[in-house]
Amino acid sequence: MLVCADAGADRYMKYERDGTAAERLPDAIIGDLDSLSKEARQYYTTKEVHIVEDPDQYSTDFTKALKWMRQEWDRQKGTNEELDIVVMGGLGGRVDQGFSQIHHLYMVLEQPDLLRGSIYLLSEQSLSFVLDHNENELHVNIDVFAENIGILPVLGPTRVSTSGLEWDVSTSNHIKSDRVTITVDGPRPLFTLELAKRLCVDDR
Amino acid sequence: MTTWYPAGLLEGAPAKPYGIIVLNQPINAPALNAVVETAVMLVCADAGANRLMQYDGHTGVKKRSPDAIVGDLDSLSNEARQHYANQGVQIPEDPDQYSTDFTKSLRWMRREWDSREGEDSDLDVVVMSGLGGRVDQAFSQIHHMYMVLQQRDLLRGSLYLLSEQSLSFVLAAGQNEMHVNNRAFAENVGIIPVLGLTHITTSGFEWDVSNWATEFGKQVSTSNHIRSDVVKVKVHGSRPLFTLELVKDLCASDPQQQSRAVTEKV
Repeated sequence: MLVCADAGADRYMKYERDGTAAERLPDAIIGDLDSLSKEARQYYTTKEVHIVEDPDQYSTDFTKALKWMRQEWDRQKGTNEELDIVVMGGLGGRVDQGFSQIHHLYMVLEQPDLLRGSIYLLSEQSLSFVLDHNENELHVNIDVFAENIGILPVLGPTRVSTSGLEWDVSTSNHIKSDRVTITVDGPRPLFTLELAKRLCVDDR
Repeated sequence: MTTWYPAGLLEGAPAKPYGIIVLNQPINAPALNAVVETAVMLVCADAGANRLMQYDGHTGVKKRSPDAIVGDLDSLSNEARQHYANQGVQIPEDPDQYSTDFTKSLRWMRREWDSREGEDSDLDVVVMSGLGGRVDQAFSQIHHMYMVLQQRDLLRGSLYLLSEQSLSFVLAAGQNEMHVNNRAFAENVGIIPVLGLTHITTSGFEWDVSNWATEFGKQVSTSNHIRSDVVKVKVHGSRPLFTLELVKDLCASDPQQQSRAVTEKV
């Protein structure tokens, strides 16, 4: 599934126009729709994309998009089938919006009406996700990832032990094996992997 | 109570003297242009000098030679090194692997200020930075903002992060009063509980709160709106990060436009 959260549809429209990838229409555009441009709205309406306006001011477009996707998956597969989420996001805009994305990664963890599965943030140069409690085994490869990683104690101090990295734990570290294990004892940190250059936004 | 004048910082009327540190991130050119002239010092952290040289290449920006380029210099390009050496810029190489280029730059600036003004004179620091690269590096910058708070050999004053679309700083304990205006700032703000659970009481925003518990994963105030020229945040607990949206004219321009501007240099 592919869902645009409000003006995510403008971003997606631009991506489609700039690129050479085969067209894939969003399954839906969701949110309070206060940022969606008339142009994108019209364009996707003529393509018969589902446009779901939800004016509720107590949840974000991101949350609404998650909820819609979860409900749609339930409808297609029967309830409680796992579905991972990849969020096309970025921290290079407003700082409050960058932190809002990080906040959402944690906020949805105990909300099965929003997420049953894992959620990944795919940003300008990184793939990031919240580690599980206890042992995490990460299979990585150098085609997709460069060497830099980070283990970020977003919820506060936590204990980790690792293998497959260059140094004893620090915020920035290097992958040294295609199998990395991280054992978490305490609040769950954010794990972030640097993308290979070909997978990075190319303007930096 | 702590009073802040972030608008003055961006309008050439800072309340206190400040130095600029340029990190190795694409420079928000309009924002640097707004602060570069009234800074008392300009320091590049290693390949921050590469970025400054690129900024200098834009048409119509205010150019300024750095006072120094500081760091282990493992990322500084030969071209930038030569370019600034020819201008007589100090380039002290510090190979210490236990502190970052950012930290080294702060220390150099602090010592230089001490030698100019006598010891212990306050100096604010504006960090030209960006969070749109690697996520671990973005968090490292936020981490530094907190790490330096109790380190008087690195910072005596306030530290501001000037990034792609925002000006951010760590709030003081207790009451904070921020003087803002709509020439420098757009309406969006965030109060980010970086150190964990804290309680805030606010006034001057569209959605004000009173003794409101905030932490990641539970509730965080982002996309709140400024509704007054004086906004207040009272902090009961750990110190959150306060972040103000810059007006469009002070935001980093579309990167594709930026590279065109560079190739069009006069």
